[in-house]
Amino acid sequence: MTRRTLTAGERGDRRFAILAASPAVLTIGALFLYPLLYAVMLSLYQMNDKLPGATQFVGLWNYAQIATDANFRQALVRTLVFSIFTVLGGVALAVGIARLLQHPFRGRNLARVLLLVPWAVPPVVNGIMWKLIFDGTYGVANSALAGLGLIGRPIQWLADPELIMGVLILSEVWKLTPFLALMTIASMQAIPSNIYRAAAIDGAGSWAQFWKVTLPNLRGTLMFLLIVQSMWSIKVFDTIYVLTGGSGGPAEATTTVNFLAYLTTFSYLDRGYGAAMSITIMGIVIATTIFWILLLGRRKEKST
Amino acid sequence: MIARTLIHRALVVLLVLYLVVPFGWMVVYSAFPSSNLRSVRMDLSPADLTLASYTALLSDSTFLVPIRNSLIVAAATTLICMALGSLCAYVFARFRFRGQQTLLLGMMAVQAIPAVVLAVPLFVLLRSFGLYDSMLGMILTYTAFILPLVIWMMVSFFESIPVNLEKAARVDGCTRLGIVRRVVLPLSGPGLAATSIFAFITAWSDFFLAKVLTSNNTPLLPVRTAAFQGIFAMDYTAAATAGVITALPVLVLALLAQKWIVQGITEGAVKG
Amino acid sequence: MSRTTLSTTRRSLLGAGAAAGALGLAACVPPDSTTPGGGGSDGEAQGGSALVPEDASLEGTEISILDDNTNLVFKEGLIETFQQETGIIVKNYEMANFNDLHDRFATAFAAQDASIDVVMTWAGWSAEFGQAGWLQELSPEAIPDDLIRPALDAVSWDSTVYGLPKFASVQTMFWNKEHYAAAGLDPDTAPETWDEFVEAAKATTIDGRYGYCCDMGNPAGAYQNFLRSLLLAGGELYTADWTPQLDSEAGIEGLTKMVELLHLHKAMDPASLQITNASDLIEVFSQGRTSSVFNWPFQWASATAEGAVTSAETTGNGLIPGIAVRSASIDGSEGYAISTFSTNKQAALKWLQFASGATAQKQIVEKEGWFPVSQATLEDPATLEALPVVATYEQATEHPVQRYGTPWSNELDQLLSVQVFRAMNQEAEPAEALKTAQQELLPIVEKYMG
Repeated sequence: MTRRTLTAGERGDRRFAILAASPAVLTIGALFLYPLLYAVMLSLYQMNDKLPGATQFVGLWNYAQIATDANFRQALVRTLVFSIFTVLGGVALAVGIARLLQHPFRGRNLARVLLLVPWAVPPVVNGIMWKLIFDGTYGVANSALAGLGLIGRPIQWLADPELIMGVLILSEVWKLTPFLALMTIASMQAIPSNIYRAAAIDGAGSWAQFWKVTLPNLRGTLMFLLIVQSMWSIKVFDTIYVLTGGSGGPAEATTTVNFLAYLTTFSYLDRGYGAAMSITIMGIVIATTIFWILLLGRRKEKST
Repeated sequence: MIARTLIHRALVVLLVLYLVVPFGWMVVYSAFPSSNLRSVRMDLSPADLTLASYTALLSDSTFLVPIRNSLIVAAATTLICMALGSLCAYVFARFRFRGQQTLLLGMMAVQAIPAVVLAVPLFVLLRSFGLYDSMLGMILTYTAFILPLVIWMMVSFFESIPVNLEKAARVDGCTRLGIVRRVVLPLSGPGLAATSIFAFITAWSDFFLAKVLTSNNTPLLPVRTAAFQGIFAMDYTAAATAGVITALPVLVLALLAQKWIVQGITEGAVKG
Repeated sequence: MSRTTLSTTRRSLLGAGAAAGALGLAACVPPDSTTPGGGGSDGEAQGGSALVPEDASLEGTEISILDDNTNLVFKEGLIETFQQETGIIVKNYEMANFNDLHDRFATAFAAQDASIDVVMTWAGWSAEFGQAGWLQELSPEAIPDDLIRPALDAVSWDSTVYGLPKFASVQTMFWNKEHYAAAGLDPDTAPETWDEFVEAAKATTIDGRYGYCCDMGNPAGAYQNFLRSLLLAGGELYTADWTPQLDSEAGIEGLTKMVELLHLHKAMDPASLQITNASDLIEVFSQGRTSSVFNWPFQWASATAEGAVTSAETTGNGLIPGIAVRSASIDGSEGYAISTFSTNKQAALKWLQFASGATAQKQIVEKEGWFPVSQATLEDPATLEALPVVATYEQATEHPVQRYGTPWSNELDQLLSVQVFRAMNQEAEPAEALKTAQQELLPIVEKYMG
């Protein structure tokens, strides 16, 4: 789809454009530019509030430290694991849900409406919700499993490093997949039906149609979803904070890079290093976005 | 064929349960006295259902004030974002100018910034203008955060409106602003609805910045709700109740406007 | 995104990438900049000189206080009393969640905010914020001379006093007398040695209910439980010059005992590894779901409250049984400090003195069950009458009671909890886990102490 320039040359138009666009751009700039620049500047300094006399400019030293920091590396691995499951799992689940709700059936509208429930729940509430379910002593998961006779003693979901990561992934997927599903549904509906008919004439069954017609035409949407979900997964914070009571999980099991940056800045008061970490995270987010664009971006015009 | 339908039905039921049960459990939890739920065998006899927890919270001013504040902040943020953002999005959709792509990408890049790094400079910034711990300060902060999203979403919606309609209006002598008012906006109903609700939910739900940038003058709801768990304050029932109350407004909004949201997402996503 | 957008995207991104790369090369990386000047906490280094009380009238001065939500007595009348006594107006008294307080303080102090005069503090924060120069040092004249040692430690760091305590707190043992009786143990006597304790815990572990429960679920909890075990094994966490001793014999023995309690004797509730709040632990005991805990004084208030399964008659309280010594415990005292950025320091000091003075102390003890901070109040018979468990506290102070709040407490909590967890999950032997922790801690201490 190409953009068209409307008849330029009208000065009224130009004035309008500038007046209309500047408030937004200026607001964003004013409230983000300063903090961003501050953060970048800070990342070039060694600044730890608990070492007041030692603040000094160190250039890229903090970044070099990050590259060799074992804690950061471990947090990065955790973030990677978390993101792979939530991004790929989430998008796959979204496509699956969309497929389930693709063709009309009784109750489909209700199902679609209910997709909005997880979307609307604030992340803080999400954390409380899953804590109520998986708490080792008071959670309903253990009560239900015990009631069904499936377990002899309570499972410590939130004490086992691997289990709690599972709970975190589940909570993120639960919250965000429905939104992804809605977008997928919408895109699916935009695929013209004559393509399906043509495929059916060619002898393609329902599944084949899905693989050969639906998916390829979802490429743009899927890329968008992957980018957005990747961003969210890397930046996840509220849920971890509430689920782990602000601690980052047993044995740091759910301390992702973002949470580590939070600990470094606010808990250890090592703000120069923390700022460098945050900028690095920002870089990772941007790099991931580029990755998806390069991987899935359209290379030539699709004839749709 | 029948087997297929059965499997399909079963899956749909599973889906609905998956969507509803977690939240539903929190609602159930909040409606029983805490003693029922503390013992190993949970006592869920319907006779014990009670709204006591809700009455307690809703008559506590330290809980009501954050609700009011969050409502005001989220509503104001949404209005400002939609007004400024839609105008700006229109310009991006219809005009072409140098640096447009970069500007658009730059605004989206703002989304990539983790909130952690913004906390202290924002604090300093707000304090120097006397806006720390104030509604105006939070509104401004959220506006800056949510504007890029609004702009991005509205650009898609505007692009889907045929240019010819606007050209026709121009031929009729309409000014640019008039075109926006009379042609573009009425046609963007679903898009505006979807984006507004998205903006409201985002502003309402923010936790981290609210935690850092407010104190006791302008407490906000998510921070208050999260405070029900802490070293010296553990009341799961109250936490569940607070959770339900915190989620309720945005849930109701989303469900009421679901037709518009789905339609809005449809139109926006197609361009994706 | 449309096709045109996409190609422009790629181009502009590549361009930006190149620019960033060039900038990166241009920025210099200066030579080694670690190990700066050591922990400068000698009074004159930061925050100016120590605060000496003055006699000037402070009528009408306003102060703002940011407290945690532990004490309700201030809001419920003590502020009034203070205002009447001193003429100082408490413009703002806010009670915030403990977890959130640290972040709020960190942000406010970092921005040199002058709007808060009095902050709540405890051993960890006194060290952390004191080291950062954010707390006002107090001169000896400002400090009452009969403060109980652990309480004073909680508001000091490295021999500088940064505030005055508002209550003292120490962990003691609480046990369920009914469970003990049912298991054939004497309900009125606490075990006096660790072995006796283990036997009691095993005997009271029946039917999915465990004899002992603790709160190791988060870094702070892991540190506290480890520290207590180390002290019970007769060790010290640091030498006099702050060299850590995590992997000392006492440390290893203490941790081993905890691991054994969980895996060998099977008397510790596995849920302990995910209990993150002292309040959760309090609930567990008060609902009769465990037979013994080592907990803070407010366990008593909760166990004797309405709705609890336990009661005053069925709750026992005594010293924590030691491993290599008779007993030891950890301190949880809290207090108030004055912000270096405050413009009303004298008025703030009055609040500190009020909180640690007899009027306030009486209420904190009687109404809320915390321990007093002054020797005088401790020895007052009225105190013992109001709060019987004070007797235990008095005994406890005759044994080691430590908290070791340091500027690096947060970093230590975090790294230690990882290793403690490994040990508790039997992924590593306690000796190896603690050795790793010690290795990780040494450079950190070096960084702060020079």
